[in-house]
Parts: sequence; structure tokens; C-alpha cells
Amino acid sequence: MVAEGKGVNKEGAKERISDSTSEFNSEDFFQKTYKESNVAEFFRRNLHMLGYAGPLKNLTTIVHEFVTNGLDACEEGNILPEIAVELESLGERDMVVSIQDNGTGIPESYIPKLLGKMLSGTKFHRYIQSRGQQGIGSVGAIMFAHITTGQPIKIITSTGNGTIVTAVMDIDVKKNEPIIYQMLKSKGKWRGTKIIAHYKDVLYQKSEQGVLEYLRRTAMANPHAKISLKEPDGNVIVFERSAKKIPPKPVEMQPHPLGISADDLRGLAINTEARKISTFLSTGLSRVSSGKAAEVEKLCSGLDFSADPKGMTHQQAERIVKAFKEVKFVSPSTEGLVPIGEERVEESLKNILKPNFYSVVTRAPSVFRGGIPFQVEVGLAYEGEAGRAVTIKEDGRTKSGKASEIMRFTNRVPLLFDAGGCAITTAVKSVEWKRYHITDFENSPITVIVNFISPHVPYTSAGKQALSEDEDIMAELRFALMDAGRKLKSHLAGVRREQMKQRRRDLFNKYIPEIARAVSKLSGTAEGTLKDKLQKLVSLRLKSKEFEEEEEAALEEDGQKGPEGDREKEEEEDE
Amino acid sequence: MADKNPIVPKLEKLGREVSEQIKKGENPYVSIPVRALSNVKFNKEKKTLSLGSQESKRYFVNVAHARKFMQTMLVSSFCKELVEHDIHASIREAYYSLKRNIAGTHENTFEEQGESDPIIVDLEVMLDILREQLHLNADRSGVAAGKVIISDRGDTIDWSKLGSGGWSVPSNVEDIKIKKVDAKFVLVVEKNATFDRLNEDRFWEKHDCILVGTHGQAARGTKRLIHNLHQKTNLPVYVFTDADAYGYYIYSVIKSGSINLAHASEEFATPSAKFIGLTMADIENYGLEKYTIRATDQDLKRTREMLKYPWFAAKEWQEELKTMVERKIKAEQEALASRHLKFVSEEYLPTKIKKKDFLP
Repeated sequence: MVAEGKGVNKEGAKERISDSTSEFNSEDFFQKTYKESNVAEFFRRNLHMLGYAGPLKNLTTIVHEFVTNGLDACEEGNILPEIAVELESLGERDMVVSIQDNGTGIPESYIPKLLGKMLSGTKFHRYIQSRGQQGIGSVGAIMFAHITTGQPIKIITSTGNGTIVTAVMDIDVKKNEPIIYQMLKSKGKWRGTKIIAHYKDVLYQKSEQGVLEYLRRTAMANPHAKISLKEPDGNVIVFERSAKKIPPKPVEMQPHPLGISADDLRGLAINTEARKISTFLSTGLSRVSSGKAAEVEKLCSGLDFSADPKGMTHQQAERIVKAFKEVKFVSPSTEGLVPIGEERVEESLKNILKPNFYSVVTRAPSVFRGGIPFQVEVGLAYEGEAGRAVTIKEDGRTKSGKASEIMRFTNRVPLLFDAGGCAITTAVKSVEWKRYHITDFENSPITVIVNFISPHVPYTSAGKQALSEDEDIMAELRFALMDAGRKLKSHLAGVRREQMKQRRRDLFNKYIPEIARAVSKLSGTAEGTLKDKLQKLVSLRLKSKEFEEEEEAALEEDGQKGPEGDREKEEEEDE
Repeated sequence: MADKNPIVPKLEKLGREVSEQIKKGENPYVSIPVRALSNVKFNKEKKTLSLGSQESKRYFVNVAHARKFMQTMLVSSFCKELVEHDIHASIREAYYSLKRNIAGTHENTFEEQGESDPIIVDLEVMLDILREQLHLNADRSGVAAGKVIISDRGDTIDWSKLGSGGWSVPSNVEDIKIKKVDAKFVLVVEKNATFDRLNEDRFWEKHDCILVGTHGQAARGTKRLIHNLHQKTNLPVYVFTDADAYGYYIYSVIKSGSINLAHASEEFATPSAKFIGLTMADIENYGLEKYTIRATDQDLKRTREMLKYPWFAAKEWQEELKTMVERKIKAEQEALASRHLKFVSEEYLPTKIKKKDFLP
């Protein structure tokens, strides 16, 4: 797996890593940088890229890695996920984190491989809409424990076959090999995986970038999952599932020539069974026929397309990728994409944000860079528990209020960091919310949820926390937001109508005392009697259907002319 | 004329009707005859305007009517108090008396006089009475001179002995008694300047007439005075205005009544009145060609509207208005001074009267 990377020296690797504007490709990255040298050193040096940057973010990243693995494990096994996160404080920035899922469990023999070695995950070399960070995530989290406390981790897992395996293990960071200290087996009917690890330099905080918010958003994007959190103080928060159906599994797809980099191409070439580059292209990529492969060949004069793809150099791969751009390919299939779905997002909004109004839009799939399928989902929640709680200063006093909140997701994974540099944030801010009856977006009790789905998410950097501002993606994001805005507007218009009705009610009631007094003077009837009768009359009439119609007509008439008809403007006014 | 007795019962009847509706749990309303061109009829026999039978209902529980319904009740009960206590108020005083904050709101019962004035007219029309009978007075304007003796609240006044100013016509002339008249006709003039000219020249003395100045559109009191003078003496009434749409309309209101007061034409109109000038023909006949003014688009628009009014349907008026539209000119009374200052009193008016050169 790492054979090709051996020729690249450390300097070259550094250069590549520091180029954070280009896409991060973990495979390539590790192939070039990872050697028998000190893994821990490498890891330490690149902590920030893997999501470890400060105690708050550290904890969120750890939880994210294990929860993601848990959800994926359930998805693989067609299981309704139940994830339990427990945080136990041992001191200042010192914590035991335990995360349990009810997924497929890890067969005994796979435990060391799956968890003890970097880049060994099942998602490697697959072009698929997935949550995970392709093989480094959970291992990174284990490594982080090793770095901060030197303590081994404990894994309890069972595939549901009646045997529960408890393993205490660590990573030999020098060799990138797992070390098993203990492996116990016991009888028991249970299925799932529980990981217990001890960390320092972690902080639990109820903030926008904290674990609670991460789990709340994860629950929102995974309405079929039940997620619970035991906070360090012992308090338990449960996000119940709102959907009982397991979403369909994303389908693995072949990469499209227009959505692939030279590195990607070489990675594929290494693993192909094709003997010639031409066959490799027409079998390994989507929408490339042998005819199209021949067209590509013509554009790469001097390059032997009958050569073994495994020997493809980086320069050759670059030439081929460059040639792809000049050939016309059919757009990629979008069949492999699995959105959360409008109904589920709706249930999820209702379940977690309890909004008074909401709207949900799942756009049809689209393609960016001509070759990468993607899809956008948007949910808007208004009032209720939607929006971000803030304290507002007014006349020197502080009081609690609401501000708008943007929840970003890629393939259902919440993005909590780098909001400012994210295409989703830019798109949300570019929408003219006034048009949709949200006059002051920043200070409205609104939550905007955006889920970006793609087998290849174009992050701005290795941190995978922000989506880059691609033109096609921005357009789709905006369309989705505007569609949802329009839907919300019609709901809000309904409310406004209701409020108007209330105002109309007040309109009648406020005149009652004046009318009662005047009519009493004119007729001699007791003022109190008239007041009573008028009040009853108003509440009765406002309930009648006849009134609604009468009122509609009156409003219409009022809009056009006075109720007394087209009184002519005469010049002869004599008063 | 000022018989107060029928007024209070009328207001009480209105109150009882509304009160009964409320007691029965019905949505209370009042019926108001529609005061619009569409509901104004011209009686060719009587040569006066009258209101048709169109009525609109003003409900309490109706978004568009509620406020006006409340205001109608307030004005009604206010007028009942005025009449009962025998107090008179101007329509502006009425507005201030009725304006107050509505409890629990930032709204007033009336925000401006423009709201209360139309309600007063509504009430007149609804009850078929005059605002004077409701003890409400309109603004006054108008002046009179001539060999007439009247009595006003016990004072005897001789219109021939009031110097250069003449007798100022009050807003309410219901209690004025015309005691003695020595005149052959009544001359109504639009402009104060013309009135002053004729008064200085003692036109009323030389030609045995009663001179009335309206100062533009005639106020209610002035219209009522002209009506009363004619009723009492049966003298012919001649109206003298500028040669323009506005002047012609002043004449028509004195003669036939107005759209807004169509319900009270019987009390205000003087159907036998004749138009003495200025006419389009006068411009040539009296050499005023060089002293005309270009008619504005506004003037022409108004003239075209008037061409369609049934009370301008007479052949002479149709010709007059059409000529004005064709020639696009108008002329002021004062243009006659271009000949010499006394031309109007010494030549123009006497000649017109002698020749009976009138428009109907």
C-alpha cells in the first residue's frame, strides 16, 4: 500500500501538506509522509489538520471520530443506531471518554487491524458518500490518548454471537502496529462496540463548538439514530430518534474523469486489475468508453496507453487528467447519493427544534466541476427552540434573546468549525431573507440547516470543516435556500394573517366603550347593557364564517375605495 | 324655521334603532343615502338636484366601517346635547369637543376635522335635516347691501346704511327676519373686489337691487339667504361670476344645488336664478379679447366634466362650455375694468339687464 510513497522525501511531503488550499487527499498524504519513522511525531506535528487544536476542539473531534464510526457500523449492518457517549471528569482537562454503539461489532481477529493501525479502515479506496475520514479518524483518536496520557484504551465488542471481547490495547507508534495488552472473552448476549479512553487536554463546554452541540446536530442529520450524552456532571441528555426507517446505504460509484485529480488517478491505477492504461481508464472510471479512452490517448502523444497502469508516474497521471478536460464526457450518475430526505428532515426539525414554522427542501442531484455528483438539502426552522440563544443588551439591561443559527453538514456530519470560510455560510448570508418575511435575519429565531451530500466533498482544507466556494455548489446552495425560504414565507404569511385577525378583533372591542356611551345617551338604554351585548356580538361574529367573507369583501372594497362609494371630489366644498 | 322639537326625537329614534339592534344581538348599522354623482338626480321641472334612493349601510362589526360607525354615534349624541341645551357650535368646535383618546390605544376618536365634517353631512342626510337644525354652524363668508331691512336677534339692521363693508352674512340665517325690501332684483357676485366696486358706485341704489357677494363658492348661510330673499320677495336673481368653469359652477350651485348638498336643494337652491355673465360672447361684445387668460388643463378638464352634468344640459350652456373648450380661454370679472373702472356698473351690467342677455 505504501510502496509508491517511499521515493518521496520529507521535504516534498511538507510542501504538499502546507498547501492547504488544494484538496487534502489522505491516501496520497500518508503515502508520501508516512514512513517507519516516528508516527507519533508526525501526528503531533499535524494535530491541527486532524482536528486537534485546543482542548474544546480536541474533545469534539474525539467524540466525532468514534460516533461517526459507530453510525457507519450500524449503517453497514442495517441497524437502527443507538449511540451513548459518556464523559467522566478526572480533573482539570482530564477525562475518560466512553462511546458505545449497537453496530455490527468487530470480529476478534480484526480488532488490532481496525483500531490499531492507521489507514486500515474499510472505506479506503472507495468512492462513496461517507461520513468518515478514511481510515485515520478513530486511530487518530486513539493516538491522541496515547500522546496526552500514555494510557492504553479499552475496547468491548461483540458481533452478537454470544461472545463479548474485551481488549486493552495501545499503538506502537514507532512501528504503527497495535499492541494488545489483554484480550478477554466472556459469554453474553449483546452486540456493539464500546470504546473507553483516557484523555488530557480536553474540555467539556456547552458552546457552539462543544460535544453537546455536535451530538445535537448529529441527531438532527441522523433522525433514525438515538443518541445520548452523559455530561461530566452526571446529567444525561437523550436525543430520541424521530424516524424508524434506516436510510438506504449509499452506493459505491466509479469516479468520473472530470472529478478526479492526478493523485486519485494514480491511487486507482495501483489497485486496478487492468493490464493496460487504456483498459484501466475504460473500466475504472465512470462514463469512459474505450472510444473516449482512445480520444484521451490521442491528446497524450508519446504516452504509451498499453503500458501497465501500476507503473503510472505522477507526471503521466497529470497529463491524462489534463487531457480529460478536453474530452466531452456524459455527466456522472447521481444514483449513489442518499439524502436525508424531506420527510425525515422535517421529523427531525420537529423533534429537536420544535419550531412553530419550518420548511424543508431536498434539491435534485447536480454535478460540480463537470464530474462530481452532489446534492443539497435545506431545512428552515422558525421560532420554538430554533435559533441561537443569546443575551441582548437593552437600555443597560441584559436579557435573553434569539439570533439566527446556521447548521452545516456534509454527508450528515456536522461541521462546527471554520464557519466563516465555508460556502454554506456564504450562501446563507447571500440570501435576501427579507423577501421571505424574515426582516432581520441575524436577530431572528431561525435555524438554517444545510446538508451537502457528495462522494467527494470539496473541503477548503485538511481540517474538513468548511466547504469551498465552487460556482455550481454555490448556485445549488442558494437555490435550495431560496426554495425553502419561499415555503417558509407562505407559512409566515398565514401567521401574519392570524395576527391581523387579532388586530381586527381589538379594532372592534376598543370602540365598544365609546359606542355604548353615545348610544346610551341617544336611546336611554343602560350603558352596561350595551357594552355587554356588543362584546358578545363581536366575539360571536368573529367566529362566524359569514364574517370572514364579509370581512374579505370589506377589505377588498376598502383597498379600492371608501365604503360609501365613489364620492366625487367636488370643488364646491362649502365648509 | 328653527323648530327644534322634531330634531331631538329624530336623534332619539336613531339611538333607539341602534340600541334595539344591539339588544337583539344583531350587528348594528345605520343607513346613509349615498352622496355621489351616481346617486344624484336632476329634476328638470324644478331645476334642482336631489338625492336618489341609493343607500349604503354602515355596520359596527365591519373592518372598514367600525371606526366611522363609532364616529357617527359620537356626532349624533353630541348634536343631541347641543340641541337639548340650546347651544350652537361651529363644526371646528364640534371636532375639538369630540376628539379624545380611545382608552388603551394610541388612537383618537377623531384625528382631524376632515374626519368629523363628512360625518356631520352623513347625519344631515340620514335624518333629512340641516346642520343648522343640529345647532352646528359652517364657516361664514358672504356680504350683502341694498335697500333691505332685517331683524337679527332683536337688532334691526338696514343694509343701505352699512358704509363700504356691507352686511356680513352669518353662517346661520335661520333666525333672520326680512322685514322690508325695496328692490327689483338680486345681484349675486362672485368676487369681493366686484362687490366693493359696485358698492362704492352705489349700484344697488341706482338700480334698485340687493347686492350679495359670495367670495367664491357660496357658503351655506349665503346660499340660504339668497334662497330666502327669493322666497320672500319673488325677485329675480342674477348671478355674476368669472367666465371660467369654477365661476359657472358657483352659479349652478346657487341655482340647482350641489352634489354634496343634493339632499337639501329644497332649502338652498334658487332654481329661477339666471346667469348674467361673464360669458364667452361678452368677450367679443364688450371688447375684452385682449384681456382673456389661457385656460389651464385643469380648467378644460373640469369644463368637459360639466358638459356631462344634466343641469348643464341646456343648449345655451352646452354651447358656452364647448366654446370655452375650443377657444381654451377664460376671463375675469375685473377684465371689464380694462375699459374703465366704472364700466361694469355703468355700462356692462345695465346693458345686460336691459337686453335680458342671460344664460338660463
